[in-house]
Formats: sequence, C-alpha cells, structure tokens
Amino acid sequence: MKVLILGANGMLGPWVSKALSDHEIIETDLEKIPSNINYHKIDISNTKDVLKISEGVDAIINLSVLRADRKLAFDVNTLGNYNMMLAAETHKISRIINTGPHFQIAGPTYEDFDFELNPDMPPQPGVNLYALSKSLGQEICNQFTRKNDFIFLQTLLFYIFYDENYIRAAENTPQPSGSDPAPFSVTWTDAAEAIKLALEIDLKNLPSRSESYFINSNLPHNKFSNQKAKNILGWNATKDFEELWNRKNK
Amino acid sequence: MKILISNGIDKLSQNIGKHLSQKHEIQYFEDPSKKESLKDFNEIILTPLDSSKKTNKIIKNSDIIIYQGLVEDNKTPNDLNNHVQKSYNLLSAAIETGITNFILISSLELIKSYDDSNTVTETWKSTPSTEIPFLSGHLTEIIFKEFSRTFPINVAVLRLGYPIAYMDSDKGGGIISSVKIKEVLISIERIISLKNPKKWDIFHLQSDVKSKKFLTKKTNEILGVPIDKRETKNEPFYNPKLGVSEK
Repeated sequence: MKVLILGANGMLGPWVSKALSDHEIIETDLEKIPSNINYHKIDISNTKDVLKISEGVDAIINLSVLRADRKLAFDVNTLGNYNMMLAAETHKISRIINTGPHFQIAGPTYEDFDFELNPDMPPQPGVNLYALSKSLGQEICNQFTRKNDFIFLQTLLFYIFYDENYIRAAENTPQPSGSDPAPFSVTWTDAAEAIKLALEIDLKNLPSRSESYFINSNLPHNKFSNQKAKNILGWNATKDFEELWNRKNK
Repeated sequence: MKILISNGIDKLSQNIGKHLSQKHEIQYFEDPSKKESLKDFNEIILTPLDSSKKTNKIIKNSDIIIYQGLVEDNKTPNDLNNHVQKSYNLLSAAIETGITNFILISSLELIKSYDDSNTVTETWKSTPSTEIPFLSGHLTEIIFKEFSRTFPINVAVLRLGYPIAYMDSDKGGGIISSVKIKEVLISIERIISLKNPKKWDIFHLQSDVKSKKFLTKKTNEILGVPIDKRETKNEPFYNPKLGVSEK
C-alpha cells in the first residue's frame, strides 16, 4: 500500500516506518531526521499542503502530536485531524489510522475511579489541553467517517512507551525492577506492530467503520482492557512488564 | 448581575444584551477582526480570547457569560480552529477567575439530520454535518461539557431553532424549525433566574408552529417557554444541593 504518515518523526514514527517496510511510505513532519527515506516537509495544520500530499495514497496514519503550547496543540491535534479527514473525503481514501493518548477517552473522571476501562466508552477527556484537543480531533474524525461511507477509521490509543530494556520514553536509565510500570504501558515495537495490523486488516473484518483500540500490555491490575485489540486486530503484547510489577523479580 | 456577552456586534447578541440591560449590567466582547464594524457600537471590548492573562482580566467579576457556540461567520478550517481555541481559552480564564455560570447559545441545527417525524429531544445524540459552522458549534458544546464535568460550574446550553424570526412578520415564523426572538430572550432571562441551575442542562427551543420539528417539552416545563406568560418554574424533583441549606 502507499501510506502517508503524518508526524513521522516523532518518538513513535521511526518504529512504525520500520514495521511498515513492506509498504511504500511517505514520511512527513516539520523537520527531517537521518532515518527518513521518502520525506516531505508538511505541517499538518496547513490544509492545502495536507490535501496535496494525500493525493493518490491508499492510507493515512496520523502520528502527529503536540502537547504543551495552548495554540499549537489545537493547530496540530484538532485542525490537523480536520485536514486529514478533509483529505480522506476529497481523495476517497478509505483507510485512516488515527492515534492519541488513552485519556482522550479515559480522562480523570474514569481513570481516577474505575477499572476495566475500554476504548468504546463515551469520551471523557476532561480539560487537560493535550487530552481535550486530541479528543476534539477524534470527534472531527468521527463526524467525517459517519458522513462518508467509504471511510474506515481506526484509532489506536497509547500512553507510556518503553523500550525492550524498560527504559521509558524521554528517560535514559531503565526503570528499576519491582517499581510498577505506568498503568498504561507498551513497548515501541508492540505499538508499531499494532499499527501495522490495523493498516493491513481486511476492512470487511472490522465490526464497524469506526473502531478504537487500547494498545497496552497485559498488566495484572486490569485498569485498562486491551481485549478489543486482541479480538479484532489479532494483536498481543510480546512484553508483559513482569520484571516491573512483580517484586519477586527484584 | 454583570453579564458578559460574546460576539458583541452580532444581531442576536445585541438583542440579548438590549433585553437583559433592563435588569442587568451588560458588557459585550468581540473579536478584533470585527474592528471595522465597531464604529456603530459603543463600549464593546475587543479581545482575541487568547491564552494570555489579558483574557482573565477582561472577564473577571462577571456573574454570567453568554457565549455563542455556533457562529455562521466561521467558514474555513482556521475559523474552526480559532473558535475552539477561543472557547477553551475563555473557559480556562473563567475557571481561573472564579466565574461559575454560563449560557451557551447553540443551535438545533446540530441535530437536524434526524427525520422530521422523530421525537428529537435533549437526550438525542448530536449528529452535526462536517460544515465548519456546525462542526465548530458541536466541538464548542463538547468543550463546555468537559469543563462542566470537571469544575463546579453551571452551563445551560440553549439550542435555538432556525432561522430566528426577529420580527413578528418575519417569514421564518412559519418554518417548522424556526424560533421567535421574543422566545429566545425570555428563555435566557428565565435561565438566569433559575434558583438551582444544573451543572449541565440542555434546552431545546423552537416556536410552536404547525408540524414543529423538535419537541420542546423540557423547555416548556422548566422555563415556561414558548408559552411565554408562565412564571419561571423550578425543577420539580428534590436533589440535595451543596451549600444551599435554608435556615
């Protein structure tokens, strides 16, 4: 497939590009990085540029994210999604894979209180800038998908990423054994594999034209359920983080 | 009360302000891009509703903010983006300055896709089109809802019929989804006077025309609109309310 990746040079992007090596990938972001193969400089908040780069692709994967700045967060997380969906509508692109943090659905009003949270709950992102701007972007995706019966939207939700040595994103040293992982955790490779499975799934096997998945490892507290990703995508985490949550291993 | 009203030069905002000014102190605000139109209006604050503390300064000391969620002038993707940012910034500033009461003016256009024969009420899910004004209006409702869910504030969402008939002779009065401006003004007045407002309360308002598209039983029962001679009636069922015990 010819696949456009928006936000390809963030932390997850290179892992996804590597997992999709069998596909023709167009990598886009604001800055080029050494590992880029087919790079185009695209600002996802630029409607015209997103429409242009999307022409002729079979699928769009949106990995773009901006968390901190009040204006840029909406530019990327909300307007960016509008531009992606306008491109899908304009160019008749069926496969759309959106990503975001788990708390764009399971915000504090869920996470602070409950267990067995799942990706089909009505979104309660709360007022956190990152969560709410992403959730609004997701709602835009939902409305475009509802309107256009050729669009199949899959949304993969993540939060904390670790490498194979349990070094957490943006940190330099492994998390100590027996110190409990973040409640919503997954490795980079498992996350990228989930995106690959979503990209390659036969659309006829999707229960509906809009499906969301929690992509997190099998953690024993059962705070968040990854069962849907297992059932529909056939995904499973290869790393269970037991060294972190089981103190026998300390 | 000191009431702050958005979209200051807009016809609906001006009508609301004029009506409420009989009993309240009114202050309008407007986007700086409308500066050229301001020569016809006095005392409207220009503000981009950005994330700076200037926004806090403008809105502080207000008792109620009346905000238009669906703005027909919004045409482009950037307009949508600006509108949701403004809404978020306004609410953030309001929370930081202790404002607790809001009236969000929205539209029944957000749920117009249901068949005319359906009994559409406040409990039905919004299904807006992807046209910019409606999508941005829908997202604005979501932003207000999340602030209401998170903080001890009260948001009344008044979804108005369309079009608004500003004159008794206005032909809009005969359309199955239309609403008369008089009914809009009475509704807002009565929302303001509710003694125990809810954290999140949606009211559908359209005129009692033949074959009306939307049911307005709730608005009729609680606000007494569109039967506009009725006195305000409060919620009929008891619910404990934090800190409202009477001696």
